Amino acid sequence: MAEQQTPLQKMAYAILNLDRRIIFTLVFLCVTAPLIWPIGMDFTPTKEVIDAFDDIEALESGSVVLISADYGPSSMPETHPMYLALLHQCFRRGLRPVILTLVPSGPGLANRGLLDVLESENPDGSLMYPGLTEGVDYAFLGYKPGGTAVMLGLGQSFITTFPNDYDGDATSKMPLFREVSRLGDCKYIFDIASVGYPEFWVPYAAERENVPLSVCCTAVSAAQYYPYYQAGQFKGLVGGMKGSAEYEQLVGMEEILGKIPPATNGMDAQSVVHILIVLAIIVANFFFFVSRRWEASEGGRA
Amino acid sequence: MSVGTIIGLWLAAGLTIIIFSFIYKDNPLYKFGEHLFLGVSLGYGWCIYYYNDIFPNAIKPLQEISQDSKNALVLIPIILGLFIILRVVPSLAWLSRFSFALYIGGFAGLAVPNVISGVFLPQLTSTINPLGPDWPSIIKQVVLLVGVFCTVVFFFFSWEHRGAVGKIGRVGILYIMVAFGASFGYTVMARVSLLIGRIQFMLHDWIGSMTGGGG
Repeated sequence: MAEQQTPLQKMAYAILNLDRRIIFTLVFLCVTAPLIWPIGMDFTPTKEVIDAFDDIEALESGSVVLISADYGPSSMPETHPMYLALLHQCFRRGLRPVILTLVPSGPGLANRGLLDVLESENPDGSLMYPGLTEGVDYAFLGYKPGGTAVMLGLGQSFITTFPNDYDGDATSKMPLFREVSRLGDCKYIFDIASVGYPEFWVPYAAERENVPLSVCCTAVSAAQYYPYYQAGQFKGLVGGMKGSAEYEQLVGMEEILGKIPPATNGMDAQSVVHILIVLAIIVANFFFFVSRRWEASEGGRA
Repeated sequence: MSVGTIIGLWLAAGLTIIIFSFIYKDNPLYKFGEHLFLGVSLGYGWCIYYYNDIFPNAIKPLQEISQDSKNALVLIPIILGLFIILRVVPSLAWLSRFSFALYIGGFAGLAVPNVISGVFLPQLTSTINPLGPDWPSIIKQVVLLVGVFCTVVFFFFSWEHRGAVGKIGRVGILYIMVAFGASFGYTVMARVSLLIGRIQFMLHDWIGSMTGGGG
C-alpha cells in the first residue's frame, strides 16, 4: 500500500499520525499571538449573565451581598476576573459585600482581590472607593471548613459561625454584623465557584433562607448548572472565562482599569483556539473516513 | 516593584516552564516541579486546616477550659474524631462506627428534607410548567419534557429495552449525547481558559515586568 500512495493519501496519513507536539505548538501559537496582537473580536453578553448583573444593579444601596469565593489558583483565569468585577460593581453601587470562602486554597486569592479593588485609583490618582471601613462597609471572613455545615451555621448567625474575620478581629464588634446577623438578612448570595458548592448553596442557603442566588462557575461545570438556572433557582449564571468577560463588559471594567480586563483580553485567544480545534476535528474526521474507504477498497482488490 | 515580587514572578515563571516541559517529554525537572507542588500543597493545606479548624475548634477551647467549663463539651467531638483515626488500628477500628453513625445519621437528617424541598421539588415543578405563553416557549418546554421522559425511560431497567421502550430509550440516548457534547465543549473551553491565564501571566506579568509594562 505504502509504495503506491498518492500525494493526497500521503498527506492524509501524515495528518492522521501527526505528532501531538505539533498540535500543542499550534495551540500555543493560537493562544499567544492574539494576546500579543489583540484582534478585538466582538461578543455580546448573554441573558444568563445579564440577569445576574441586573439583579445586583437592582439592589438598594447599603444592601449586604454575601460573596462565597469558592475557587483557588487552579481556576483563577475563569473565576477571579468575575470576583473583581463583582466587587467593583458592589462598591460602585454602595452595596456591602461580606466575603467568605469554603475552599482551603481560596482565602489568599480572595483577600488579594479585595485589596486590589479597595486600592483601585481613578486616573487622577485618587482612591476609587474612598472612606470604606472594614466591618462597616465590607467584611472578609476568610476560610471555614465544613461546606454545608457552614451554610447552615450562617443561617443561624454570622458571629457564631465566624467568631473572627480573616485578620482575626472579632465579628461581634463589627457594626455590619450587629445589623445583619444571619444569612436571611442578606439581600443576595453570589457563589463564585470552581467546585460543586453551588448545588449545596441552593438547598442549604438560598431556598432555606429565601435569598436569591447567582452563580459564577468554571466552564466545566456550566452545563450541569443550566437546569438550576432554567428552574429559577440560580437567578443568573456566569459560566467560565466567557461569562466573566461578559460581566466585565457589563460592569465597564475597561474604563475602571484603563486597560483591557483579563477575561476580555483572553477572548480573542479563546476564539482562535476554538477555530483551530473545530478545523482539526473536521480535517481529522474527513481523512479518517476517507482513509477507511481507501483501506476497504484496497482490501477488496486484494 | 519590590525585590520579593520580582523573585516571586521569576519563581512562578520558572516553575510554569518546568511543568510545561512535560508537553515535550517527561524529564527530571518536571518531576522536581511535580514533587515541589505536592509538598507545598500539603504543607499549605495542613497549615490552613490547623489554623482555621483544629486550633480554633479543638485546641483553643481546651486551653480556655478553666475560664469556661462549657468548653469541656468540645471533648465529645474530639473523641469522636479520634475514633475515626483509630481505623488504622484493626483491633480498635470498630470504634469509628460510632462516629460515622452519628455523622451519616445527622447529615442524612439534614439533607433529606432540604434536598427534597430545595432541589427535587423545584426541579420537578420547572419540568412540568404549563405550556406557553408564546410558541418558542411551548417548543422549548415540549423539547425539555420529551427529553426528561425519554432519558428517564432509558435509565429504567426493569423492562427490557425492546419495542416502544427501546425506541423511547434511543431518543433518550440522543439527549444524553447532546448533553455530553455540550459538557465536553465547555470542558475544552475551560482547559483553553487555563492555558490562556498562564500565558497571560507569562506575557503580561513576567515579561511585562522586565519591559516595564507588567501589571
